[in-house]
Parts: sequence; C-alpha cells; structure tokens
Amino acid sequence: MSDSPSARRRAITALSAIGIVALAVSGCAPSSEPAPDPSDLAGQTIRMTVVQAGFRPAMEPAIARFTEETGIKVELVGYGGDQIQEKTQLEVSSRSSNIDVYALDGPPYMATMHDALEPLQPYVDRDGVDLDVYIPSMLEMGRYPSDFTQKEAGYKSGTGEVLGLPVRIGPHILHYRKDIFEQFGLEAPKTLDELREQAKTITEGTNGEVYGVALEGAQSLYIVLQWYDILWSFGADVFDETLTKATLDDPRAVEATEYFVNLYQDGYAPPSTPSADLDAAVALLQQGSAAMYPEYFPRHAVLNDPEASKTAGQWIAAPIPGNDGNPGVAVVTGWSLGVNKYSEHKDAAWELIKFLTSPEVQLSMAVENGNAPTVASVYEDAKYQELVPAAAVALEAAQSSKARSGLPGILEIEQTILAFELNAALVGDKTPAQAMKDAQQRITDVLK
Amino acid sequence: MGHGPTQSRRRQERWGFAPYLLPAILVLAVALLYPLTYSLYTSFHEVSLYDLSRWDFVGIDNYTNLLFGNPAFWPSLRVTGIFTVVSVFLEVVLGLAIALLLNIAIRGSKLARTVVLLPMMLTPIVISLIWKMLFNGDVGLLNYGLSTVGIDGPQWLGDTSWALTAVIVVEVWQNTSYAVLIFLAALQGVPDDVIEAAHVDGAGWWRSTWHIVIPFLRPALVIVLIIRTLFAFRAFETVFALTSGGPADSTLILSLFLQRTAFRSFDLGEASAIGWVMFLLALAISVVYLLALRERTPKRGRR
Repeated sequence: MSDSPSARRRAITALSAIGIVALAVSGCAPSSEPAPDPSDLAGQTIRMTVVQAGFRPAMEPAIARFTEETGIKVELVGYGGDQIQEKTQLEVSSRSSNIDVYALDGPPYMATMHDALEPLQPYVDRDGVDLDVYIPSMLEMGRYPSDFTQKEAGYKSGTGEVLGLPVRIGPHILHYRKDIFEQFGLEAPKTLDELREQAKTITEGTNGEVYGVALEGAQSLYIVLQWYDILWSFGADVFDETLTKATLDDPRAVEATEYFVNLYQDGYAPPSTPSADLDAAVALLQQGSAAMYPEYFPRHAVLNDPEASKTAGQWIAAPIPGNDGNPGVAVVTGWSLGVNKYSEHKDAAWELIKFLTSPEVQLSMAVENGNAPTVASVYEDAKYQELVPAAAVALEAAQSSKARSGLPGILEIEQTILAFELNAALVGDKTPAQAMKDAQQRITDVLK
Repeated sequence: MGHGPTQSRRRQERWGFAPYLLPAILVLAVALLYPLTYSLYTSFHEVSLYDLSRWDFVGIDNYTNLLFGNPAFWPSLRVTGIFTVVSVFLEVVLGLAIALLLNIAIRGSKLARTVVLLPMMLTPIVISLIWKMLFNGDVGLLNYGLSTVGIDGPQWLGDTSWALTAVIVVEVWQNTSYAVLIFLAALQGVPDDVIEAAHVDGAGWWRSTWHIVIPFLRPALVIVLIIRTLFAFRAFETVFALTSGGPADSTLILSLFLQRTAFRSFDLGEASAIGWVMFLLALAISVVYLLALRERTPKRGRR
C-alpha cells in the first residue's frame, strides 16, 4: 500500500525537505556551534590540490604528521604549475565536492573562485586563530575583495572576506652564483642596468660557458611572471588601478619589454631560452650554465639541493634590482589554502588548513622541508636564518612586492595573450613595440 | 493464403536481431550521441566556464566569429594541416619500408619486430618529456650528437621555423609502429605462390614487391591512412607536452586551440564550435578516403 505512487512522491518530497534543512544547517556559521569533537573527524578522508613540484614535497611530511595526530586521511591531488589553475576552475565551476581543500595562488584565483569558497572568519573566531601572525600582504592575497582584485572604490586593505589562509610564500628574488660573482669581482646588482652589464661581463668572460641570466622564455605563464618584475620596476603596469583598463600603451611598457627581450637577443641568456620552461631553466642552473635567475623564492632550496644540483651551496639571493632610482618591484605569488564550499568534510578540511598554516608547523616545514613560510616570526628564527640566508631577502621582497591581478579574464590575459606576445617578441617574430601594441588591443577586448 | 506465416517468419528473421543490438545502441547513445548533441547545443550559445548558470542563445555567432573574427583560427588550421599530412605521409612510407624489411625472415627479425613496436606501448606524455630533453638546444643529446659531426643544431623547440618539424618527428617516431603492425599483418596474407611464380618469371625482389605485394596491401593502406589521419588530426598530448603551442603559436594545432579557448578564455560556446568544425573536417576526410577505397577495390564475385 505504501508503495502507491503518491505515497512515494510524498516520501521523496519529505526526504528532500530534510535534505534542504540539513544543508541549511550545515551551511550555518560554525561560530554559533561548539567545535566538533576531533574524534568525530578521525577516519574521514579529505582531498587537497597541490602543485606537483616543490609544493607537494614541502607539505607531505607535515601532512603525514597531521594524519597521525588527527586520524584524518589526506589525499593530495597534484598538478603542474601551469595547469593547476584551469583544473581548479573546472572543479569550482562544476560545484564539485571532489576536492575539500583548494590550493589558491592568490588574487587570480580569488577573482573567479571566491563564490565557491567557504568564508573562514567564523572558523577563525571559533578556534581563536591569530591572523596577525601572517605577513600582511600574504593574508591579503587570501581575501576577496582585496588590494589586488577588482573592488569598489574606497576599499580598505584587510577588510575583504578571508577565504584562504597563506601556507607558502613566493616573491621573486634574484638568485645568483656567489662563486661566479666573486670570480669577476661583482656584487649583487642594484639596478637593472647594472644587471645587464654584469650579465654581459659574465657571458663574455666565460666565453658563453656560463650565461649571465636564465629566463623562462617558453610560451607559458612563467615568461609573464619574469616580465612583470621588469615591467613594474620600469614603473609600467598591465592595468590601471581599478583593473578595468589596459595600460600597455605606456612607453615604459615598451622599454621594459625591450630590456627583457634584449637580455636574450643580445646573447646574455642561454640560446634555449625561447623554449625554456621552469624545469628546463632549473636543470640548466643546476648544471651551472647561468649565473643569475630572477624567480620564485622557493626555487632557492632546489638550486641549493646537493642531491639535485651541481651548483648547490653557491646560490645566494638579492632583491630584484630597481630602475631609474626606484627600488625593484617583484611579483609575489603565494599559496593560500581554502575550503571548498561544496565539500562534505568542511571541518576536517579546516583542521588541515589550521594545522599547515600554524606558526609551529610553518617553522618545521621551513626548516625541514624547504617550504617558504608565511608566518613573519619564522623569519626571525635563528635556525631558519642560518639554514636559509636568503630568507631575509625574501621577507623584504614579500613586503614590498606586488601580487598578480585578480580579475575574471586574467587567465586568458596572462597565459594566452601576454605569454604569446612576449614569446613572439623574444624569438623576434614581433618587435617589443608591436607586441605591446597587440597586447594592449587584445587585453582591451577581453576587458570589454 | 498460406504466405502469412512465411512473411511473419521472414520479418522475424529480418528484425529478430534488433533486441541484441539494443545494448550497443544504448551505449552509443549515452557515450556518443549525448555529448555530440550537447556540444552542438553549446556551440550555439554564449556560455562561460566561469558561470555555468547563464546560457545565452547566439545563433551561429560562435561559428562566424571563429571563421572570420578569430585571428588564431586559420593559422591553427594551417598548422594542423601540415602536421597531419606530413606526419601521416612519413608514417606510411616508413611503416611500409620497415614492415617489408621485418617481413624478410632473417635472424633477429622477431626481436626487431618487438623493438619496433615499443613506441606504441609508451604513454605520449612520457615520450614527449623524453624528446623534450633530447631536443633541448643547450644540454640536449640531439644537438650534442650533431655537434660531434660538426653541425650546429637549431633550437628545435625554441625556433618558430623548427618547432613544428620537431613535433612531427616525435609524432612519427611514436606512431609509425602502428603502420608497421598493420602492414606486417597484411603481408602475411600475400600468397607465396604468386611471388614464387613471379620470381620464376625473372622478377627481382623490388619488382615483385612493387607489382604484387604493394597492390595486395591496398586495403591495409587505406586503414592506416584513415586511422592515422584522424588521430593525427586530433592529436593533443604530444604537442601539449612538447611546446604547448609555442614558440609564438607556431605549433598551435586545433585541439590545443580548443583547449585554450575552453579553459583559459572559459568560452565554452566557441570551444564547442571549434570542436564541431574539427568533427566536420574529420568526417569529410573519412568520406573521401572511403570513396577512394570503394572505387579501387576490385568487385569480387562478378565477371
């Protein structure tokens, strides 16, 4: 009898109603509830995205400890550095619950993914997490809106919603070879002009055995990031402050691009530069084929890794040099961790984030696994300073550098338009002036 | 009268197989028809991966924009055309040559067969990563080898005039073994007595191969051509891992262009339009090949 269609329909309606109520309840701010009993979370399995190289090995030992302490199992889903953004976007757009913890590379992610991220302030309040321990610009990158995203006029720094906590920092610094610089009686360059002169001295002085500088010239995100350092240090930018207008028609943008392209075309960067991606550049540097490398701070550990690098121990660091009397403005990328709003294990996901971003774990990951810490006090730790002398440079760079812009079209602007135009200028298919003119036009079309 | 039951039996014979086809039809409908129709539907809409809740019908705008407004389409079609034609041509010529050589029973030919088939067993990504190292202009083995004989090798993957060649080399290296496999199988069907008769009549290896063996291989040739053309036309992994379309878009084949449109520009409508243009082109190629096959195969059973 109870099997009659109408009864079944009623049952389904009732069940869906319960489901909706349950959803509403679980969506409530956790601050109004007591923290879940940790033993309830044990046995759950959560999934977290990571970049396969660097990021993953830096986190893995700490995550193993987390599982030991909490009983929460963690599966890492690894992607290449230039693919993780589109893979994450796919998960986000389909509102999938597949991933519980998203690794977020700052404002570009926030621009298109903020709707799918769980606001973390209630969790922070509930568990009494102190947000002041983080380097302020790092924390800001996990907010939406933020200094680096599109926002209303009059936005005040530090007031956007917290959607991610910073776990791994990455300002660009200038990695350079101590031995080569000593050999030629050079000191770290203070200006970009000086950098070019030194690159010339080294390339010519070694007959091309060691090139002055290594660039990641392949048509990918990395050429864009290295170009940002130069562009910004020349005082130009891709967008105006509101991120609604392209500004590459600025003559300084052309000058910056000429400077960048000429490092290669004048022969101070290795011949393979136009096809060099991250791995190729690092391999070259580990072999000892170039003396300077403007890149992400966490690469420092890779270059100085005695197991992988023939040049280990020779790499020291300086800030990205400035131009025209101004200090250099490097790009800072840094990873935050956020909770998927559609996750079925939000509490367990939060526990993992809280663990990995805590001062204690940030210190141990920095000292033991080469992670670049986001907690300011770690940089004052004597052991860390001794182990990674470049850390002081990185901290300073992180505080004065600039993040990538967070607006919805950024993936196309950086990886399709700018990567192509810069690579075309590098191989001489276009002049830098033409490349900037075309980029300006195409970015303006995207912003429409 | 009386022919009623016969007719129904005949109908039963004619349609009795239908229920057995049902599972296959269902699978095809789910796995093929649904995505095809869905992507066709998508291609007439403006829809962004960023916001999947908004679908605006735009008619054929995605197609007209692709063909007449998108500066990357025609260059990409050209790159795809060169990539497909050159790699399939080389695969067929090399595949045939290698198969004929392997078919000569000498010591070690069995081992050689296994070795030749090795590239087929490797993942394209792995192959591409290995080749990427070999091609490296500064520390790669290939240019080192060339330098020992006094040749200054190019920046294979970093030079717009060499990158497509490099990509084709890898594609051919990986897929020639497929052609070898099919040709080797077909060679087993070539009747020995005909060849022996030719030899008795004074034909050498070369003449008997050209006039007897190769005509026998024609059906195999068509299979290799169709399959390899369609696969090369929609190749993705090799080029993606080697160059991602660079330098300066010189290796931007259509499938990469599609991926870029969908996952970087988030423009699902236009990406679907690219997919459909590729589908129609592939269909046209297949029809041409099939027509060519039908004309050339001698009709059996007629005098």
